[in-house]
Amino acid sequence: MEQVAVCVEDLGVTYRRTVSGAGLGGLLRRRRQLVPALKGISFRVEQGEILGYIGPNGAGKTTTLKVLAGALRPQRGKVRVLGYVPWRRERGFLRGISFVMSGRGLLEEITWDLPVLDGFALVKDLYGLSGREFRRNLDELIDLFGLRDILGVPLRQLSHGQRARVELAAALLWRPRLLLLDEPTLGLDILSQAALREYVREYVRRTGAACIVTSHYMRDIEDLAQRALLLDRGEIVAEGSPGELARRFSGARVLRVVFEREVPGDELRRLGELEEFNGNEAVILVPAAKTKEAAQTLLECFPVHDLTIEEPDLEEALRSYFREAG
Amino acid sequence: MRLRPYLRALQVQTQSTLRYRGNVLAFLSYVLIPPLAVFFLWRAVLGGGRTLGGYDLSAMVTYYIVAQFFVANAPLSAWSEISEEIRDGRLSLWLVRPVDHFLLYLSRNLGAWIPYWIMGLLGAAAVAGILHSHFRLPAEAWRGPVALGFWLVGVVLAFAWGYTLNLLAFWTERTAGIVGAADAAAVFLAGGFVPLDILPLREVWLFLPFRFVGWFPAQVFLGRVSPERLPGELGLLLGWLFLFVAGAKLIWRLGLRNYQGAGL
Repeated sequence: MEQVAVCVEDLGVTYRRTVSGAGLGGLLRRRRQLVPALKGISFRVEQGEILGYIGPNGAGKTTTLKVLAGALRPQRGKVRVLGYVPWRRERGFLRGISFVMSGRGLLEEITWDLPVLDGFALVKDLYGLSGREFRRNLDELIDLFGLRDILGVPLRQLSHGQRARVELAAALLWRPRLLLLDEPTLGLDILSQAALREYVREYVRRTGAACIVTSHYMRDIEDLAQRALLLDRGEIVAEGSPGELARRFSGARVLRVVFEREVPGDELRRLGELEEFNGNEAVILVPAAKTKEAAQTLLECFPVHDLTIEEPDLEEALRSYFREAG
Repeated sequence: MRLRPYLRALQVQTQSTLRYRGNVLAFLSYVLIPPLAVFFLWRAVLGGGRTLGGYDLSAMVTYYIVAQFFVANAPLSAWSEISEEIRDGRLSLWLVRPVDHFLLYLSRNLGAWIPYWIMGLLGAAAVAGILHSHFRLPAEAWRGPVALGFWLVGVVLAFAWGYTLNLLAFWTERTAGIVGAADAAAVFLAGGFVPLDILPLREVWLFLPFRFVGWFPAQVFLGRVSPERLPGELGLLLGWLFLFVAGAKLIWRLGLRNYQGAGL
């Protein structure tokens, strides 16, 4: 099996859009605009690796996944996925990938009114699985995702979390060698999010598949990815483990304090950015260089019961990075 | 070519349609009312032994019942879902699957229609029963199945036409107006309103392929097409079908170059 699952060189995508003014007059004054979505990005993903792909809305994350899945043809660049050129959409390529799109699944589209099992049977035939393969893979996924009790229930009668689990199971049924997950935990409660992350990790461990995951929940990236790429306005601005990225993009430290009695918030604001405060407990973000000084002030001037100093998590780091970058 | 994905898609769509059996049943009124209403019109025109273009009242009533069943049950506008998917980006869901989009949607479309065909057949039989003194069964038993066979190939042709029109969404986004207008024209050209051979400019209407969706199978049923003509007509129909499918595939390829997948 080829070691490199995804190889992208100088990938560029430009969208066309029509811009018009508001109201009826806008119908007459329209102009075409070219919007660069990806400006020549390059990266690789190895088999067995989970890559986190992060960035703000409009950074180009979903566009990249669409190109890798063969749904979009780029204007420039060289892309090889599992050894194929994606937009030629050869059967061997399509059989090897699975693209889980944010907010819409295959089964929702075609078997919305039918029992879950009918949806799985459709996937079996779409991907040409033998009866034996289908039963073996399905049994495994039913156990992994806890679906046994809902196999006979029409998809539309399931909760959002259940549907997400069904769609993910359907996306793994043919044992893809590359998983492209676009916001897989969007709209799920914390328990379902954690469970879903566990499923993905377990699938990659068992099968050696590669996975690219985008998410706005940095917890997904921290939990899943060994490596992450940070994308901003169509360009990769950083690469590293989630921990490295958090350290690189944050010049701040997090001070968590529990007080013996209620204290005024105004005094605390002088130390740094007050992230959380309820009178008795506070989370303060302070510049790294001023950590010692702030901790000393807290201990000397406030009735401190407990104090911890932490490095910020990826979410806090990215928030401060994008705030500064404007 | 693998047939299983398409047979499964057909089955799944039939199952989905049958989940709403009341909706299918309501279709009966659509099949029953127009032929009964039109009967009174033709009785006024052709009563008293009069004829029009070789049709007496019985021939016209039979034509209308048979052609109405064929035309009303042909997917001349394919499925608006095809253009909606292009517009809102859901097409990407299908582009990443190892299936042929045309065949997949043909199967889904046929699967959705099958319950309506059964209902339409029941409705047509009921109308024929009510108007039994005017409805003529074919003199030769083979004419029914042969008419049905021509119509089934015509259905694929009708789908290819509607499919291609929906693909215009790659360029215009909103195709409902174009598809609606083309659908109305195709119903007329298929002989859904009046027999094409009694119209002026009949050579034009009879040259176009839409006649195979309604008028021609009805002519076969009525005994107005000799057996010797059938192989030639079948060749012509298959030729048109090839052209329509090739056209649909070409538009699909060109359209994909324009596809941006916005929305999903």
